[in-house]
Amino acid sequence: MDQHMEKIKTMDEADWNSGALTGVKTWKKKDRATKIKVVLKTDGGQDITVDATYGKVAAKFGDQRLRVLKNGDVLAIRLPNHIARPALDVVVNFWRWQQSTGAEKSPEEIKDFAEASVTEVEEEAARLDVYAAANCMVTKGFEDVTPLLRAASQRVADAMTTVSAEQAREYLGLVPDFTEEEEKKLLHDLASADN
Amino acid sequence: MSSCQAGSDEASDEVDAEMTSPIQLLPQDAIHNVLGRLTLRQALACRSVCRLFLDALSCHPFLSSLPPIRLLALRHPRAAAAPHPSLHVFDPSLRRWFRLPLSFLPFQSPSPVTASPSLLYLWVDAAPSPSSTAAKNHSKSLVACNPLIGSYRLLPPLGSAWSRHGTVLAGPDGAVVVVTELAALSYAPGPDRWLKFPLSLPSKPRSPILMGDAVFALCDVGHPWRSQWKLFSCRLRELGSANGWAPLERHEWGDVFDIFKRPRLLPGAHSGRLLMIGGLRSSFILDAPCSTVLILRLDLTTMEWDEAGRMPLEMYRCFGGGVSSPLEVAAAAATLAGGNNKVKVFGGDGKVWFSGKKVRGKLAMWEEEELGKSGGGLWSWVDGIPGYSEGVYRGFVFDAGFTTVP
Repeated sequence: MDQHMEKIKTMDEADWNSGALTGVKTWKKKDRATKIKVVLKTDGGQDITVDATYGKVAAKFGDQRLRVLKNGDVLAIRLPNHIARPALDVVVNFWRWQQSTGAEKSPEEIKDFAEASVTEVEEEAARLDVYAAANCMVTKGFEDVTPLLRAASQRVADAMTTVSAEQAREYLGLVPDFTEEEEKKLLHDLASADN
Repeated sequence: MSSCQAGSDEASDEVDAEMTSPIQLLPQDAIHNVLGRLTLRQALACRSVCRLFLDALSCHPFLSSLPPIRLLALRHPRAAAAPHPSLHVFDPSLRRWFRLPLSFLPFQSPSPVTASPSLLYLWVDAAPSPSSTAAKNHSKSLVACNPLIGSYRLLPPLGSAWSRHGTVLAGPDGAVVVVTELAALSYAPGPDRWLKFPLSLPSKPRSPILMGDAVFALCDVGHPWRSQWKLFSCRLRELGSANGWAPLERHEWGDVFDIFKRPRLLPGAHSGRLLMIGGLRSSFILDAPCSTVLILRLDLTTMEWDEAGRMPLEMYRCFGGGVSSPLEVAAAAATLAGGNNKVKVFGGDGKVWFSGKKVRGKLAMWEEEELGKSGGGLWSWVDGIPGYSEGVYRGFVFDAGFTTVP
């Protein structure tokens, strides 16, 4: 049993989903306040370790995986390769602030801190990275990152409201992929929308 | 937020991450989360960024999540002759004009007339060719369309007289009524045909509106030299019955109609409230000029009137009103005879716009306040009307959205 538990704790989510673990039949319901450490495994081996509680990250993983964890146990989560480390630092910083002071803060204060966290990122393209990182973390179970996700998504949307399609492509790192005829029609429809 | 792309998608991310924009690696709902924060105008613009955005912005779950935008649509006097048919609309929240293309309609001479409020209705020449029988009979058809998704539905044809003299009223469930002086046509999608009913009203209905399942209209029951207005209503299902139309009146209303000159009806901001708008007579003498434009509100539940708003004098003067001295009164009477200071009133759902010949290139706008407040509403000017500078503008409210299908 201990061997299986060790395997669970360090298993990547992909392995978990693949059903590599077998043989464990008994699960104990854990206290939502159980303190664990989560290792966010990034490309390039620059991992970040954050403190979390079972209750904070259980929703996404499902209770099965976390029920075996005890106080101080370490859980590894692999992040997609496109998540930039500097953006992840912003998200982790927000997460840590939430865990340490979030319970004492009003929703407005949390919202303000989230917006300030995004504003501190100077480049628009980097804010898109923050949005991608925040989105990933929320879906991985770190739902307290949601205010930062909202702030980052609003900033990305705001950056797109004042630019042309070509500027939006440059900002987002996109290449145009329409046929000439499709683009002509789209631009015609758009031009006729302006007065 | 729902899930990230999981498992095997991460493997492909490892191969393509260097070549792919970060936004292309986001799950669909994460992209929607950003695009859903754009204005309607920006959402339309983003369609041309890349195929990913075009697909995301065309995806039904996303589109159905966007709230409709309440717009003022202009009835352009020469819309039918425009080489590139489009609908000029004003977004009160952004205070900007823009155009919705109507080129997807395969008909001649489209002329927008009303909205349901989320479907646009236009008169069109539905005849396939000028030499066809329908064209020879000068028939017109109403078409219901959603310009944001480019879909339309043609209603059965009507004689062109209906398009010239009829007032088109459209309801949210596809019901359409065309009202003229002596008769009304009623249409429902189910039977897909027009039914004609004679109107049992004492005079030509003025300013008919459709609210809920009833038509409201004003009728002049006075004399040729002095109008006396009365309010009538009729449920849609009772249009054909002899006693369908009934007056709405209360003894305690007193002379509420007599204080108005050329009153018009519009739906109020909240269901069950009707607005009556017109010139406020400065006295009860014949042809007395108006001191301003008055807006009264009728609560159809309590059947009580209250004052909703009154046009500021400095604004009313721009329309050629607001006289005070005897000389001005005489001048105003002469002007009134010429009809140069007529004010066109249109809108609905708590927003009213005013246009006049003396007010070129702009409209006055009044916005009804929230329920429970009694501050008289908000008055402002709307500039930069596109399309044409002469004539008097008319329009209607249109809730532009992506979900309503004709």
